[in-house]
Amino acid sequence: MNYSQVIPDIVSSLPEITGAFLASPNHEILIDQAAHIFPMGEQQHIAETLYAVHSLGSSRFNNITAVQVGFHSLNLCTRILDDGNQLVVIHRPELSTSMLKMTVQLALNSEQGDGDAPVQATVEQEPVVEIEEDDSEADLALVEELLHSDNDLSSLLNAIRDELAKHIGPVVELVFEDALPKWAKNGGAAKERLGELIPGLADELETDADRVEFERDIEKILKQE
Amino acid sequence: MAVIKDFAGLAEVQGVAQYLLVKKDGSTLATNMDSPGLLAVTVVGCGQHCENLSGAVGGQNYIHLCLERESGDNLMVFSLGGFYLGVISESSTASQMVVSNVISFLKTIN
Repeated sequence: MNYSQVIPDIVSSLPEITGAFLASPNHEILIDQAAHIFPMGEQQHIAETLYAVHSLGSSRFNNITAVQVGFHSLNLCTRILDDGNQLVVIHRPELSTSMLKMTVQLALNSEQGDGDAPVQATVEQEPVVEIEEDDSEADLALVEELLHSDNDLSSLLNAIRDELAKHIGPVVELVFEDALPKWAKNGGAAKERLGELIPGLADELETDADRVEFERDIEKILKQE
Repeated sequence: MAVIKDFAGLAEVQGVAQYLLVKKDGSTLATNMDSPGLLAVTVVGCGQHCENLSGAVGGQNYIHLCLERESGDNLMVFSLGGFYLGVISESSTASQMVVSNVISFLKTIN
């Protein structure tokens, strides 16, 4: 297929499509109509990453036709073509998936000279690792019990949760509901064991500075009690 | 603030067939799936790959990933800070509609 014609055709077909490039199966950039969008060399990184996502998805599902990643101001869409090459299209988020699909298919078909749709290439599958599942309902009940005002530890635990919320915001409840049962089940929920709860919570913070500040503030809370 | 049980409301969002909320270590926090274990690994792996694209697109964080399937029941992965939300969409609903509905739902619980 003459991709040197297909790629420009795709880019010029709709105003919402801002660029496209073609990568070989080993992620070498063959045709580049996206140099104005990305820093030099990033197309290869994008191709490798999207290919990895496609491969990972294909390890779970056998009928992946495209991978689309949405950002605030642009979307990346990739398809593995029948010859193993990878087409990446960059477009504005407002472009509908169906319109993009039709545009790409038309460009490919017109160059193929027939109406056959491209066949999915087989992609390497990454190894799948099985993980254990949580007993979420029992854990939630335990969290509710520990945070209930009748519980002796509730004021301290709520103070710790509020301190953590200053660093990680709304997801604090999720973190807390995950960490608290593990701590309680592993030795019992006791005031003298609160120090063992803190490192796991601190691990959720992104920077060392945040972790130090969090642990310092928690130390103050525990000393006050 | 969002709590885990709030995510149960996802099952009622139009276009959402199944969902799972996972930590970045792969542990499942909330789901309506019978056996989410293997899919949780896929969700986390895909989410982490997408986060690696941030530098290529001017530092923007990715909002959603959609693995489109011939059957139309697509896998979507949303980034939620230290968590990923995986959604299997209903084949009868356009993927953009599902993305929009899920994001609207997430705003209501945050």
